[in-house]
Amino acid sequence: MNPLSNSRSAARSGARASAAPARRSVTLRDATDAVLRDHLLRVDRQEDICLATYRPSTGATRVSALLREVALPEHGEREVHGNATITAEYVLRVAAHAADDGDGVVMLHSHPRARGWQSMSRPDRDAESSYANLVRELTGLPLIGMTLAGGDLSWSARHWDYGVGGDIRPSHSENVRVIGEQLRISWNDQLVPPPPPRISHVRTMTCWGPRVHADLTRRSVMVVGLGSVGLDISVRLAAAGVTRLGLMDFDTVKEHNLDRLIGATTTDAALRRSKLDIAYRLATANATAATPLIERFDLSVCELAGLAAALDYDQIISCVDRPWPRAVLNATAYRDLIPVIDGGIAVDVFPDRDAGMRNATWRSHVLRPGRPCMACNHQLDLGAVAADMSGALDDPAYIAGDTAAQNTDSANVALLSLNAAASLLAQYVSLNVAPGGLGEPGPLQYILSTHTLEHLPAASRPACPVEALTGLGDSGMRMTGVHPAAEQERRNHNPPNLPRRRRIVRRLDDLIGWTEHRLSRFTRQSL
Amino acid sequence: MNDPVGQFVAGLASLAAVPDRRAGYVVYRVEPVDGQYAGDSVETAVEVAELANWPIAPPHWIHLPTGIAFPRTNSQPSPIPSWTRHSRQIAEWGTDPNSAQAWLAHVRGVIGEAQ
Repeated sequence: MNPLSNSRSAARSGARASAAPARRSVTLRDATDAVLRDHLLRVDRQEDICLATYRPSTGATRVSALLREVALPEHGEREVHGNATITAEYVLRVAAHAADDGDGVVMLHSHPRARGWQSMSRPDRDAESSYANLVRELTGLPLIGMTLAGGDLSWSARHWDYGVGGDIRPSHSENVRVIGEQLRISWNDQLVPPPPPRISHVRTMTCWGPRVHADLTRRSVMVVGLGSVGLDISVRLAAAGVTRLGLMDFDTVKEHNLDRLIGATTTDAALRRSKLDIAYRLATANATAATPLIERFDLSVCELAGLAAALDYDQIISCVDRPWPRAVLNATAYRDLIPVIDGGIAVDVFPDRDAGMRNATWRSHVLRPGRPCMACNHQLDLGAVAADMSGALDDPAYIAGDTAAQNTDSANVALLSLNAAASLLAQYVSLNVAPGGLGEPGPLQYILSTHTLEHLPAASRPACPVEALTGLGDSGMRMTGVHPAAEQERRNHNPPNLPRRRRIVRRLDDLIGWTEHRLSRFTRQSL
Repeated sequence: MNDPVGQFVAGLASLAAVPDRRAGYVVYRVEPVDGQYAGDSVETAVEVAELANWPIAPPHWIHLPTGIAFPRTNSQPSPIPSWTRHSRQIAEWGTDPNSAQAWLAHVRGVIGEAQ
């Protein structure tokens, strides 16, 4: 047993066969949400109904339906009579169109005066179940049922994917996510209950109130890359009370990291601790949720298992600097409709290192449909991805012949990386909390030499091949592959590969960590 | 979208680059407009492994017969006998709606620098 583990944590590494995902979710863009509201919420306050199409996006433990196209009823295809009904011809028309495109079908209706997550009435159940088998046979994908509560614009959803024939039943979604300048989430309280208020959250809750706090802390966050920026962000998210936090990194702590990895020690470097272990240790020690679930992934997001893990989260914070993982996360933001909050720091140095520092800039942006992708806002060179995938950027023979590769030695200091973390967290707050009703602000850049904050006028390129993936889910290109550098690093920090003396000292250090962890838990629960 | 190599080959074929898929490579022809090989039909290749993400991410290495030399290059032996692969990163990828055309323009420009 790893002494750093507890019952609410999970550590995964390498490719791992996983069971069928058990969790369900639905995601739609705010533009789609607006079209649906316009149709479903009638002036006469009667219920209404319509159909749409979707593609699945499958993670390790969650399947999300990504809404694509709203197919409004044509003349004579639905009747409104207090409730609303549709004709079989309408369902067949949309299902045939969906099958041609490789899509599934969504059946949506409204409860005009209702608020919050909606359970199904008998007529709702009858309407959806009567078409669920037909739709699945025609499209090969389960029917998705959705309800819009007109009182507070909450969505609820279910996937009709359990059983067959007259015994078909829905698996209820845990949430419905609407992606726009704000990330709006409707929660199924039965599956993901609001976390109980805690004294340790009083000051934070004072900022935005208990309702927003209960929503915010239920939103799962995956932090990819646990260097100076990602480590700090992870700890702060845990301290803020986030109940489900994913940590992903395959790298090992080395001595040259210690000036930036605040909380990592010379002992960690000597014992070849993984960055993941350090982040987990610090996040766990600072977590304030009653039962935080902190999941660890000793993986690269470029590996299939790493990406599958990332797809289980409501949002991703990208703290990686290599072209390949950045390209994978960039594509994920559009293909799977998971907002990716990305950013970092660049330090400009004079060619003569003794001449001092020229400048530093830190940038942050949210990647999502409606905002330019990383390549469009010049934060990712797609032309560098193949070189990174091939391992050339780690190949001394290649680097020796490439001036640009020699110059990418990641100048960075702890005194400044905190600003990049702060900028990313500010984007996170704007996306999730929307202070003043304003969501994420678009790409930002802070210039240290002049102390200037700029809103960057980046725009999507018409031919962008990444944004063309929007909403494709499982059918879109994933960009994953075998990652020899990740495999090498995992071997490097895996205890059985340590020399005997280091292995013994590491066991002692594990024991100390385990004792501290148990003592901390006992103190929190009992004193 | 599910067959990036097929898309690459089809794109080159539509531009008369005569792509030929061989073991691990796609060999095709370009005609530079500048330099020592201007007007010649030059055989060149990319590795199939580097086409895994086409057209989102383009290949990096350009494989050429070793006789085609450059004044400055970062090169390594190509697995194709008597060929050399040259490191050439294409800038601003994703701007051109026709990815195959953008790729051929890049390779044509690279070979135009050969001496």
